[in-house]
Amino acid sequence: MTGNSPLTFQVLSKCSKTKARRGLMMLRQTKPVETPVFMPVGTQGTLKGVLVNQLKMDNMNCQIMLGNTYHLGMRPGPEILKKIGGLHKFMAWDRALLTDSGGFQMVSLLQLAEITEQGVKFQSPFDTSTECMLTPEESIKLQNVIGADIIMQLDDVVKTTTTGPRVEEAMHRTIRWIDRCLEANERNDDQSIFPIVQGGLQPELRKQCAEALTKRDVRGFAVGGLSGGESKDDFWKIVSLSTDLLPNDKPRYLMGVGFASDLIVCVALGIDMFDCVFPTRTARFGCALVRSGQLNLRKQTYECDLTPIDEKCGCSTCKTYTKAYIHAVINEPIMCSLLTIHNVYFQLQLMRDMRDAIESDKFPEFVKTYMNELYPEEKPKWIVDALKSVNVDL
Amino acid sequence: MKFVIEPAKKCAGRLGLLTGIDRIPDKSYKTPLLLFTEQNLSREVLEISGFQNIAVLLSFDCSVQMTNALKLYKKGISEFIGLKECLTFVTIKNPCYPCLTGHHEKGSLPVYKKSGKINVTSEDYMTFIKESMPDFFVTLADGDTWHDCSKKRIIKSNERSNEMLDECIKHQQGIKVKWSKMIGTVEGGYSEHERRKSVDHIKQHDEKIIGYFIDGLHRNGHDAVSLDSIKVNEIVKYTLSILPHDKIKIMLGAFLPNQVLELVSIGIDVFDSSFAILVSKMNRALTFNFNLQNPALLDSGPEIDLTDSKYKDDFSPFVESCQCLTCKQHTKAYTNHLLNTKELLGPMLLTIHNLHHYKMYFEAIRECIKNDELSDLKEMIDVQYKNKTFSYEVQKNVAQTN
Repeated sequence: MTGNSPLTFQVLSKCSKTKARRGLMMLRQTKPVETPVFMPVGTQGTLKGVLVNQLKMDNMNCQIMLGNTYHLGMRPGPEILKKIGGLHKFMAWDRALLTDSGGFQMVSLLQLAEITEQGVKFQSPFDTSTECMLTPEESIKLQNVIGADIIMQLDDVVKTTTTGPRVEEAMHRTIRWIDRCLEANERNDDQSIFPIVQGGLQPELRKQCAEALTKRDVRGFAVGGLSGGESKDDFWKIVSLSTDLLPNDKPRYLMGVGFASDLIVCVALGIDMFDCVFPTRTARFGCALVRSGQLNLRKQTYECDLTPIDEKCGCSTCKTYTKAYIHAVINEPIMCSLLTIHNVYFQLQLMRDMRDAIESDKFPEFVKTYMNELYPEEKPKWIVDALKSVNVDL
Repeated sequence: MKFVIEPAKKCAGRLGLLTGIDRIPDKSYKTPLLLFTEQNLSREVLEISGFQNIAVLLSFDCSVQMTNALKLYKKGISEFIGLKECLTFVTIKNPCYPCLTGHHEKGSLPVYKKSGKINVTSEDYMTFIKESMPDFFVTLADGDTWHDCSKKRIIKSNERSNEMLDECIKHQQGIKVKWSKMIGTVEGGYSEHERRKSVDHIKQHDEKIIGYFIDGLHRNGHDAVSLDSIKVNEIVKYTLSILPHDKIKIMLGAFLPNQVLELVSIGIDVFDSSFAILVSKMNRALTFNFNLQNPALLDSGPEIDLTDSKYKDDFSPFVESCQCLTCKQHTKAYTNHLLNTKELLGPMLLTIHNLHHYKMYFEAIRECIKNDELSDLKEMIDVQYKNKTFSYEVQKNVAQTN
């Protein structure tokens, strides 16, 4: 990779037992992203109720955020983003950004999306008489305007639990579409497209897909089509297979995964990047993430609880406020702000802890301690199995 | 607590300094003072936005659900809400929300919360004061009077308020924490006779009262915006003339910026930021100019509506020279997008700007009093708000039950 590459990735240290690795991804030579990393989701150009300044505070130090192409394409729309020169400027965020292709939202949000070889056909959400088409080229064109540092190929998304020839068709189509996406990228010198490994729950298809995608000239890879209702047994096996198939010198991004236990297992299996709406969504419902799970601060039991969400937490919410205060403002906008800050901090701190553990080669010990705290009784079988596969015996 | 008024100048308005507050003895506050009405900015956001050393206005109706927690907490509401170094002032009702009319039960005040109506007795109220330990609190009163309400209602309001005041004083004697100072609530609607009666009653307890809250002239929310300026000024002027000169005088509510100047020149010392909050809730940004050194006025007027589609690709700040976090960092276009998409950050950015703008306005007011330029400022603000018909009627945030 040349010195001017918009994305360089270095593995700094590797766990001697598991497949976990600590790395440094440098975007456009100026924006460092330490991996493994969790990327909070700022769907419409903002993390709900949080100032970008808060994300950049020393204790929080969020290095990369995600935006959704489908939403941003609708509002504010490409014309406005083009005029100001992209999403970074629009939202005043000078750190790294990643955008998805928009395809997943169409299939999940819109009832009448139909996938053809050309692209994703859908009805306009604002005018149901108009049919629109999101092609791989359109998706990249839109993502070129948004201007994120990492952009995603349009892939053919099928439900995780789908079986039969449709899965294979989607896998092959995803391979055909990556070429169209790479061809369409007008900003290859500063925006890096990640292809997406598909193939459902079938190892053979995943293998074929990964083999084809790794032949392309790309700077990182994503694993897609998981975290959609499949069994955890299938989930970890496909993740593990995918990391085995992907090159070691490029970052691997597992899409849509964000529960603490999933993050830990998948880091052990060799994943470098994650995103998930869960921490920010659950915050809006009044829930705070803690090492033992989550607390629903709506519950009456917190009315007089004068301790912070987590005594050891270093976020600004825990430094200032008690659970009783958050309970007292439960439906106010400030509740959302305070819990979003805490939950995002929780995720980022978990990743920092894992990076530190990998660096000092104590990752297996970290995993054991964490799992013991999260599951004091019996540990879920899939976690035991997944970790055993990378030499960690719970 | 010490309140010193600077020797009177020939001009109207008075400058003062509030010091020696028991709980925060190293703090001082200049009057005319702006209290920050309850808003939705966390401590961290306030700090990042440069709002240090603020004085905050909390209301019983929005905080009473904290009473049980405060009882165990024992450190007071300032610290509980994350602002322990800030002066806290407790009033009965949040001036941002319009009062709802309810049946007045004997010995209690109807107060509306999101969960419904509660009848608050002096004992309930003083229990909250005891546990929340604010620096200042107003005495419980029935301020449900307005510009054309019946004489009967004013008399009733006065009688009830006098009883409540006596009760508050009785209950205060049982409170151990001595730093919570009492502000006497003056009622009497728009009747000089009734104002006199209210003041006479409060004066019986004058040694326990460190200042006066002139209540009962509007019914909070947008009602304070549309006051009849002449009538208000007359009755406030009269009321102040029969009150001790050297004690602090407070009026709460979303008065228009030029009405604030009227009240300042009559002698009111403390106001609150509910006007800036209402403007934010209406999705507008304050843009009125109060800089006498650079009196150029904007064509866009004193307030701009950020939901207006003409701002969708306007990448300039709300106010070019503004030093607030929103204006230094963000654009009208971004705010327009956030409001369109109902993102929480939209109202936050507006609130940060409007509070900053209003805070700077108060700095300008103090400067103008010092330089004897209050009438020039008044003229400048009058011009900008003349013939402007903005709505300040926010969708109700309070559920009415029963």
